[in-house]
Amino acid sequence: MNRSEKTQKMIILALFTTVALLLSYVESLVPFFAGVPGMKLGLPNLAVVLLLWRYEWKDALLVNLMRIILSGLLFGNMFSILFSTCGALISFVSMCFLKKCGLSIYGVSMSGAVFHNIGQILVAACIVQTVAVGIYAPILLITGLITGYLIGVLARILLVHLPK
Amino acid sequence: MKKKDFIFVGCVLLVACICFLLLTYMSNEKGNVVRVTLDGNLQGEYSLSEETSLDILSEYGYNRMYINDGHVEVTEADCADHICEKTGRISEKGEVICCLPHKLIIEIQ
Repeated sequence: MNRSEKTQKMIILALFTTVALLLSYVESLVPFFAGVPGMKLGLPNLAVVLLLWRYEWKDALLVNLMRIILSGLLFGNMFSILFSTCGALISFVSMCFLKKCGLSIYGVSMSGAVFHNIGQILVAACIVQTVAVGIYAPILLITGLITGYLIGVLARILLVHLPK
Repeated sequence: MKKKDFIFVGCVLLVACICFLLLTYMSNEKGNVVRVTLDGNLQGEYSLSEETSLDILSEYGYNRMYINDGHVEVTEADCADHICEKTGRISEKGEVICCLPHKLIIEIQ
């Protein structure tokens, strides 16, 4: 890759990080829970999924980690960074793996959401050291499927317009 | 949506159902003990039938727990997200209110 291509890629990744950061902020404004901690719309995952389809997994991982650190420093606290990071890493590994297995963008996005929730439940269980948090598992799994699918739909629409 | 996507969705739904069934059949008695745990340590057990107002203080912050008429709820807290308050009232065995920033769990057993 020559110099101008590298610069261009760097700019694009920076833009993606900014968008992911914005999405994560917008998501924090929408009160989307039914008394269940950790229920989110999963908007930043849209950026991650788009990156997985247009670039390599390393780029997607970089952007994801950057936005978690930045949004944690700007809007959140130690807890939110910890939860987000654990959920995001598990979710990211699942997304890469299932993409390799041949799932479509819908499946990958759904798995991203579902595994993010599973990751968060596990972290919560470790922190408070009770298995009681497992009570949220069924509903988080199902909302994960739904939000993941919707993000998948958005990603599909956007991919049509994004150049290779 | 490819076939493999549906297989994945099916697996997740199956796991969700199994979890749900486990939770329902593990708790088939009416609860009457409120168990308060802080950072994994038992703070106290209270009866659901006695009216109680308790401030739970810790190094992380405070939560006000109120037991009345067979329900327990968190009426006040100084955490950042107030999810514990937004959970509202619980009264059935197995139900939980948690305040993760304060490492607090209030459960009915």
